[in-house]
Amino acid sequence: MIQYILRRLLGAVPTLLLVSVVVFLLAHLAPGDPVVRMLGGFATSAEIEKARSEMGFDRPLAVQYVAWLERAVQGDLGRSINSNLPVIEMIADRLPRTASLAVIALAVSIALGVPLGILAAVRQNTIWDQAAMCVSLIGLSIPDFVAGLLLVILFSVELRLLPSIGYSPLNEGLWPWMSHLILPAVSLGILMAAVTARMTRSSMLDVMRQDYVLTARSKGLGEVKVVGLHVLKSAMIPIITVIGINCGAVFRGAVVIETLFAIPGIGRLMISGIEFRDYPVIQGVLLVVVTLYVLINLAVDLLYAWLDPRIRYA
Amino acid sequence: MTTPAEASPLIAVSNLKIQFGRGGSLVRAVDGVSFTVARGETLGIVGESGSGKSVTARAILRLVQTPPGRYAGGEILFEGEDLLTKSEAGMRAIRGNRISMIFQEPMTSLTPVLTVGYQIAESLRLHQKLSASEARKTAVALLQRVRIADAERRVDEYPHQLSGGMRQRAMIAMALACRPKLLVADEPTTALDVTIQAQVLALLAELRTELGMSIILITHNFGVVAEVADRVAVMYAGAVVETAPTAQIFRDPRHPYTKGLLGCIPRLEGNARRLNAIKGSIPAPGGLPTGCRFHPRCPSAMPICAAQDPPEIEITPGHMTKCWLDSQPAAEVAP
Ligand SMILES: Nc1ncnc2c1ncn2[C@@H]1O[C@H](COP(=O)(O)OP(=O)(O)O)[C@@H](O)[C@H]1O
Ligand SMILES: [Mg+2]
Repeated sequence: MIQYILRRLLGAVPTLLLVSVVVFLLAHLAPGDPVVRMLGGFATSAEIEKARSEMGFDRPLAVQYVAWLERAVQGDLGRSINSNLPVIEMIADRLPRTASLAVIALAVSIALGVPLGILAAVRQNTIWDQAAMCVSLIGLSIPDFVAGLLLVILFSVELRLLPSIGYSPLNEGLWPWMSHLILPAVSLGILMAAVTARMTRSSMLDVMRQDYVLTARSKGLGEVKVVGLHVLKSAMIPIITVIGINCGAVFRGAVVIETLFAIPGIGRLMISGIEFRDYPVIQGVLLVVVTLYVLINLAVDLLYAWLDPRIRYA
Repeated sequence: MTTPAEASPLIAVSNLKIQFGRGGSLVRAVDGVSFTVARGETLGIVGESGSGKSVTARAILRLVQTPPGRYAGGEILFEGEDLLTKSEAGMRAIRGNRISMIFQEPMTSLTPVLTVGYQIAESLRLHQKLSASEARKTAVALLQRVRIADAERRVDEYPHQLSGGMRQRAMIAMALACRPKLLVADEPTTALDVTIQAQVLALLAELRTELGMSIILITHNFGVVAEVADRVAVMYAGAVVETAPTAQIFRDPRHPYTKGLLGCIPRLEGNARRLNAIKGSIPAPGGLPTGCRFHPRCPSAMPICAAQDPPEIEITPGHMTKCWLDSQPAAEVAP
């Protein structure tokens, strides 16, 4: 198992390098000159050239890349062109907010999706199944910001139970933190819950057709043991895959949801970075998010191996 | 030789009917099956694929899924109790404990994500209330008993780490963990290669004597029957068409279907040929012919065969067949 983990960790290195190249090029090949932008419309071309060479933009791309990567590996992602703050600090500041949102949204999606899928599979072709699949279809078809607006109207405006915008750090109390995140996390989690429910159902149904389920029943095991252990554990791989994919999707969704709920997280940092052509910020955010994504995928793969001995011993 | 008329059979299935679907697409998968198994006896059930053997086997443990299936009639008396009317909890107490089952595909019959030892221990913990460590110890002993080498290590392995033959042995160990009275073996050797087949059959025969249990051995291979069964029931299209002691059925097969099957015994030691010497194929259980269900394929069919289902008649004690060829002329003119 240790060997497997090391092998997978090493395997992630080329992926991360490739990602770093793409992230680097993305910002540099995009139209719009950041130096011009930063100096404003009144700078002379001499001034622009001077600033350009100060920032190293006149050197060959490959050289710029290596220098950039060296610094990035040491945690130096440069300074924001716009605010002149170190990018790494800006990210460190915002990441916990987005991470809180993501974790709760994922938790919501799992807590809703998995039981719903199990119910639908166990009661296949009954009213329970149809109701569960109908609910999940609604979840699939409502865009997250619409869900967010509806939730705000109901819980903030009408019932006045939860705040509609803003963020409160965890160290200022559990409930303020939670109460600010519930609505955004649920809006973000609905779609993922729907996807999880559908995958759980189909994966469970797939397994329930297998011979070994009949074997388990022929031993005299009750339904709880048969479904909860033999079926669910065997059906876990596709479910974990979808949850892993959701982990990635949650960052994408965060861009919209953070804007809607005025949560100053990574998503909003990214948007403002793009608005101002703030290369270091764009690169920094992308690099961090994609690295996280790769690490999550790695964790998912390790989870596979833990769940399924056929992968572990392959 | 035991006869079905013996005083108290361990299990007596009578007129069992199991159907799938309804209305126009009604499938009579099992259509009035009757047989008995005495204590300590091995009954072979033989028939082509699709004749309803597996559904009958599942019905004994009441594991036919309903829906789509439906128990449409009959009785399964096991030690005097009708299994078809028992509560679900009552059936769970019997499954894996007093009646066990093993299946055709050793590759797919064990849960892939649980260790072999855990799966064996599961029945012991459930039915004999053993602790986890006692159950594990017993599981090791059981694996040794079915001659799995290095049982101490194998017990913690997953099914995919075992060969097909070893998995089937592990299945047997699992099924016999609680010393059942009856083992239902549904084509237990069909998926194995011939040398392993013989070993597994020998092991079953040995364990039967040791535990004093009865076996219902389902197969489409008369060679397997010759090897281990005391008595044979031949099934065709959802019904038993002939029953006899094994020696008797080889010596004097009466039903044309039995004769057809015997005409193409796949040798155990040779290549396992499919039964295909009989012309035509088994009717879809949805569209059973009128009269005798075998008559469209029967080389000796007479006019009456298409008109009326033949009654069951006894040739010699314990040898029954359902065929007009053996019926009294009086039956032919009966209304
Ligand atoms: N789940 C099911 N749904 C519908 N029909 C079934 C089902 N299981 C079995 N059958 C029907 O029962 C018939 C007998 O099947 P089976 O008992 O598996 O045959 P055998 O084991 O003798 O090869 C099949 O032809 C099939 O049409
Ligand atoms: Mg079968």
